[in-house]
Amino acid sequence: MSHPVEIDPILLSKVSKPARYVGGEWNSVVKDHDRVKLTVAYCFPDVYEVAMSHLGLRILYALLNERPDVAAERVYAPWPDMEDLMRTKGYPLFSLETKTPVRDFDMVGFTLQYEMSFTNILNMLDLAGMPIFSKDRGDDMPLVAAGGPCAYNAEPLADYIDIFFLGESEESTQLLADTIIAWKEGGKPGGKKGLLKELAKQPGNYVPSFYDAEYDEEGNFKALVPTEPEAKAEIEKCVVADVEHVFFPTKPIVPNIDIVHNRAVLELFRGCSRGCRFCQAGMLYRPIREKTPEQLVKLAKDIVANSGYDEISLMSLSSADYSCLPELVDQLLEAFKGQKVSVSLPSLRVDSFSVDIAKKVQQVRKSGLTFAPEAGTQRLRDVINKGVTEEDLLSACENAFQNGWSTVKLYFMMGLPTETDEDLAGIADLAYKVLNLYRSVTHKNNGKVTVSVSSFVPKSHTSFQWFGQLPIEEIERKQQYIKGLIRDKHISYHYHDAKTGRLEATFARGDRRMGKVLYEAWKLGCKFDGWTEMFDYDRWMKAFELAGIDPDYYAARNRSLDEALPWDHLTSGAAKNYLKQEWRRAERAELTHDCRRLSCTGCGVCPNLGVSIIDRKAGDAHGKNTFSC
Amino acid sequence: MARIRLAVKKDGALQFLSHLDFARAVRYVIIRANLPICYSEGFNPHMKLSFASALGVGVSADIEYLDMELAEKIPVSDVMERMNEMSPQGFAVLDGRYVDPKAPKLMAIANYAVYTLRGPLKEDLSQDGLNAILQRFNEAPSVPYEKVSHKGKHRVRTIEVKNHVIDAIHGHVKDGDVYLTAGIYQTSEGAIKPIQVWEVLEKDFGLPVHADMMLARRTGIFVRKDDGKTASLFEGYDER
Repeated sequence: MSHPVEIDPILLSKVSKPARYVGGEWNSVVKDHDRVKLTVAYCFPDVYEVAMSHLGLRILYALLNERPDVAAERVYAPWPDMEDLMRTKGYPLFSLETKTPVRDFDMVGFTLQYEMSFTNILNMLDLAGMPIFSKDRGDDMPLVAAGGPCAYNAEPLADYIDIFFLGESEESTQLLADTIIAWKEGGKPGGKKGLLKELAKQPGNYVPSFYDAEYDEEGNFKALVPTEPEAKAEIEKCVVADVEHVFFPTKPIVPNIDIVHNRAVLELFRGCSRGCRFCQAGMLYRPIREKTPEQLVKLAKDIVANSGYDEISLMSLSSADYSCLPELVDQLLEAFKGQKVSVSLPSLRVDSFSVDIAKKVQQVRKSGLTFAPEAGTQRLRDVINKGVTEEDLLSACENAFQNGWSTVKLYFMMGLPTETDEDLAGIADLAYKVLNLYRSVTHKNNGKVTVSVSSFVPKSHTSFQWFGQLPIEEIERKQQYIKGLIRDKHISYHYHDAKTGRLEATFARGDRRMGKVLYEAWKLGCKFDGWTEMFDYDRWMKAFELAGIDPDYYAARNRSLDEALPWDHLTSGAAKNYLKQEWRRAERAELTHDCRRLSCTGCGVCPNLGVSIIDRKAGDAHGKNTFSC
Repeated sequence: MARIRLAVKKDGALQFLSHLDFARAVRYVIIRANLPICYSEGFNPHMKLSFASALGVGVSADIEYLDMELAEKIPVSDVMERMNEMSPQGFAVLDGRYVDPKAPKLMAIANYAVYTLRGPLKEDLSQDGLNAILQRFNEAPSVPYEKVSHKGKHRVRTIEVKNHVIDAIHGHVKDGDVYLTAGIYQTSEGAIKPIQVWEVLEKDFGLPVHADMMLARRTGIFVRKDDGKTASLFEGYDER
């Protein structure tokens, strides 16, 4: 029998934000483990405030807890002060709902949202009192699973995770729960391996221990060879065809302390088909599938009534692309009239239309608008297929300035393929153009333009996956070059730490051998690497040295189009040939149109996965499922 | 417009909330309960809701009071029932009544709070030993506490503990923990925090505890009159 972890509140009061560790939030679900057939611990490898803001885990948590035979609970990474307390006093990692030790659950599932959280996964396994390597965890240990965007390049974690889930899990999670319950009730035939064999047959499931990695004489990755009959050569993601009716939680957990995104979330649609060539999410979540405004309003009403939230965020990859956005906003404002519920748009498209919508929803605080032109010249924007022109940006800003906004944030990337100093100068140039536009529109000199430039990290499953990241010195030179061009105090310029980006790149395109680096880094004490104050680059370099691995082999190397990639066996449905074609078009600065309403561009996702685009306004064209609202 | 005063509690999962977080949690309860709460005018409308005190992180309260303005006078029992149905663990509405809309703010009248302080002992302590320590404190004519402000410059301000702890502290020892009952009086100069009283007892009176290992539970908050008598915050502000 499992004993809950009891921590004296006096000890707890000594750590920062103890409320992170006590649970008891409204809409959290507490069940008696003796009365369910399956227990699942959903782990987010970051601190409470970040973890609680994540929609995906909220969906799966609510979905599984709808079932009377399953108890799903939450586990987040304790901040180092809490970790110290736990290690000193011998408290194992426990769940927020019933304070059950993590190692007593049937399944422990991690979400992989960003590479810089990987050390926290190892640390959480260790804090749970579980061996961190998959091979060392016996049949008495929980099944350790992982999903989320970073599962599409699972290899750096292959030694630690028993099974990865690719894609959208609302439907596959039910099958997973049924399979584990049947296996338990059948006396666990074949032990944990027997279960994994069963699961490996199901769509979207990848069991890394059922494959051997092969390398050529030069040490380059050659192939991943299945070693069990159940192991498929290629694992295709799961996808929900009917987004309109798929489960969506209307009883969100309401945190007691403030979190990063403390508001109700409405998911307007899945996917994005704009085809920005740097963007991994744009490839992973295809195709576009919209909900109807009627369904969204209904969900919104339920969520507000059940949570008490007074703000709803309209979330999606590019919310302003929602085909019925004006209608939806009108209906939401009408539905919540007199209730002081505000609507917010987390991201704006670079055009005047988006500003009109922002105007409607942000009637109160004109806090500032954010646009992402991503690159400074038209040529480079064409290379990355960001279908945005200078005219789009300036008309959006003009609209904003005419309507009382005085602050604009512009997001860019640097280190993109084919980039020259001319493109960087274009960033400064655009900032000046926007500022001068403010001056000419308002005849005032109190405008503010914030330019934020991040360094590009090539990601797997994108058309830039073959491109090597620039060396740190070159990134830093570029950062300074732009700095030298911005001399107006009304323009503030921010850039990201190049070192973090380099490390991210090693994992984003890493193979199984990166697992060794991860292990060394964790042993050296690396954790919370996504937190600037915690990130220790030198320690990471030491870990690479100890593992005998050159980070540039993964981060900086240009890969040839015909070389085997360590993630070739994991597919989002998009064909590798499509990505190659996109890469060649990028080199020629040729645009590829959005397939949502125009002709199919041939990425292969729809035919491969048997799904289709659902656009609520397009009219019936090109054989797509389209509806009019 | 009607002003309702509620007695509520803060403990369990909510014990570790700051005042701002606690106030937000209560706002969510009010929205979920679908009460016709009034909002302030202006660009950033605020719920018309105010508390008797700002309870610190870690301080639980058997009783706290809040006032809300409602657009419609709903029976008190309905307000309580609707809020309690929508309350997270650690919050509950215990009692309520409508008060005169012109009554002074809770913050302005609540001036006396009684706490139970609990913390582990560093060494064995008998009841007699504890009594002797508390007697020395209770009989001391003056107990200065030096408050060091860490924000900005290192400023030191001296608080006279005896201006605030005006009744005798008493206590007992149980299972290796010491429990103290202390009343804290708020003057025009403010008050002293329970942890500061604890610290003084450790530092200047030899109470064998860790100065920073204590949890406070507030067992009552009152209006203390000049004659030393205390009254409930519900008393004397009935609607006319």
